[in-house]
Amino acid sequence: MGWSTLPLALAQHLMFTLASVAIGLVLGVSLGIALSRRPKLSGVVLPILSVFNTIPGIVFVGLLLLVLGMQPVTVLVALGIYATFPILKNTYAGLVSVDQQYIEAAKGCGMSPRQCLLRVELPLAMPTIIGGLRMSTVYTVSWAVLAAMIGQGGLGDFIYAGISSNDNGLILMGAIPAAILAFILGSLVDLLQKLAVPKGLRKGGSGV
Amino acid sequence: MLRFEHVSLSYGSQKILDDLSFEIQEGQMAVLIGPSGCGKTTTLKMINRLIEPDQGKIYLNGEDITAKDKVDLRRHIGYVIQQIGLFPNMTVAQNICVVPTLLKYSKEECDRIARSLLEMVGLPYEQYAHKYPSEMSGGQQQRIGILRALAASPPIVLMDEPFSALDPMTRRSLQQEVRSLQQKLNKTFVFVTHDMEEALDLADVIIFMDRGKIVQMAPPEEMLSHPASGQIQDFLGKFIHAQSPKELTAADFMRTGVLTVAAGRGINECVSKMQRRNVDTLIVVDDQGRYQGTVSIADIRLTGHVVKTIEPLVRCSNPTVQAGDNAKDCFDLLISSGASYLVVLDDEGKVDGIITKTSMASAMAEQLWG
Repeated sequence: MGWSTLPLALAQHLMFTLASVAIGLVLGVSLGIALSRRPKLSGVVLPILSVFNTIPGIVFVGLLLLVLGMQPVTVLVALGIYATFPILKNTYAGLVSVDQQYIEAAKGCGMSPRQCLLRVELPLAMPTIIGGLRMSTVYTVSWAVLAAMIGQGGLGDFIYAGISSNDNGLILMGAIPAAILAFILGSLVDLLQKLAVPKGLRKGGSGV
Repeated sequence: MLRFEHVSLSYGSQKILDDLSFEIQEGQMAVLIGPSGCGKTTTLKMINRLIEPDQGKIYLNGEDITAKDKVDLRRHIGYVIQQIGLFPNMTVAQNICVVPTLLKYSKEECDRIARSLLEMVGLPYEQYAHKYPSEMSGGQQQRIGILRALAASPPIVLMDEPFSALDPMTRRSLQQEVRSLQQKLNKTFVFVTHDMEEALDLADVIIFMDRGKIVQMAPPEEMLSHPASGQIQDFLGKFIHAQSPKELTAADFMRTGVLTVAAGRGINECVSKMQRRNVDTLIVVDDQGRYQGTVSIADIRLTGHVVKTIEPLVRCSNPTVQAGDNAKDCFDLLISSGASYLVVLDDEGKVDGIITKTSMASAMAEQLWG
């Protein structure tokens, strides 16, 4: 284990992160939308999800290992679910905080519920949703370290090896690239924030 | 054009609308007004089915509105709300063309509509079309809000207190704009307000509601001349002229509670009274309170040392009028006589009050401005 294996580990780590965040984005946004349409249901579901959110990743990966075995899917399922939480919460929060005046205006103009969602509510909630995406991305980079725990590679390999052999250099060889990765991905999301947030909302004024 | 037939709505045991029936003619500006909670906004929102009645039918151009698809119905009804509700993620032009876009007009057609509408309200297309709502003032935003409602040229436009969040100056100019738009386009408008001045200014017909019922439905003139209830009268308030100027009498113009003194009183007492009240004449009355004349400080100074009471000094030269005399005649008398006041007497010759130039001016001001 050394410099030669670093690129592969980094690539694995990146793949795990991107795939999980992608899963989290799809699940988080769609569940967030679904829950925001059903305020009564979300009053029950959201607290339960928060409780799940507090289960340590390491425990969850361990449990999933028993069910799914030692394979990349286990990692993706675990990380995907964890990546979902911040996005779901922010999607929900962003959608329910859209000012009623816009929804009333959209309805009054003759938008169907779907058009209202796509043309008005989602664009207005976009800053909050992308905030969730950023959180989720940065967290997932650090959670992806857990992949090594069940032998699936990534930067966690260095960290676990470093811990068991008491080699600080090895730990840092895993930790520093992970930190840099988190920083770079976070900045990419910030860039996305700039591109995806509607222009009219960026200039301050009457947004959500 | 628009007809409500026995429309009712209750939330639980509370009746919001109680068997409402009325009809609005095509091209009319109908204003719904009443105290808060009277059901005016609910009535408005039933027209585009944002709220559905429990009972009764609403007909638009003879068609039952429940027979149509809600979404499609709304695309053919303009809607302006108090909070304006321009979409902050869209430019002014996009906001104006929301409904045409939903109706799948071509891009060129949308551009043309935005251009002509902006020009109609005096906002140059080049300057405003690509701005975002957050870059505009409240008044400009609501102008765009109105244009958005007009963009697909719906036959009927609903306005829910559109100007109540704006400052008085902007409100005035937007009211004028709505009036001229309405006359130019000859559309039917249903307008909700709680501002009677706005209603009187804009309406062809005012519908006054209270507790879910129509109290009176009449043109502004008729409502002013024959308000159907005390409540409407209160709402009309300063806009009602209880009397026309011709019927005003001296009693309406006089100042009451004037200082009088009995003829048998002593000189010194009168002088101190004058000093206390800072006046130069006193009105003198007899035991029954009947007018005798006036006594002036000048006369007291001249001959006060030879008499004990004021009786010998009383003069009857000050002009007097009767309480029921025509106000204009009193005014003429006050000016032509050169007296500083007129004494107003009742039928028995007792003093009712006095008319001074000040009391005259303030009474006139009240007639004029309420």
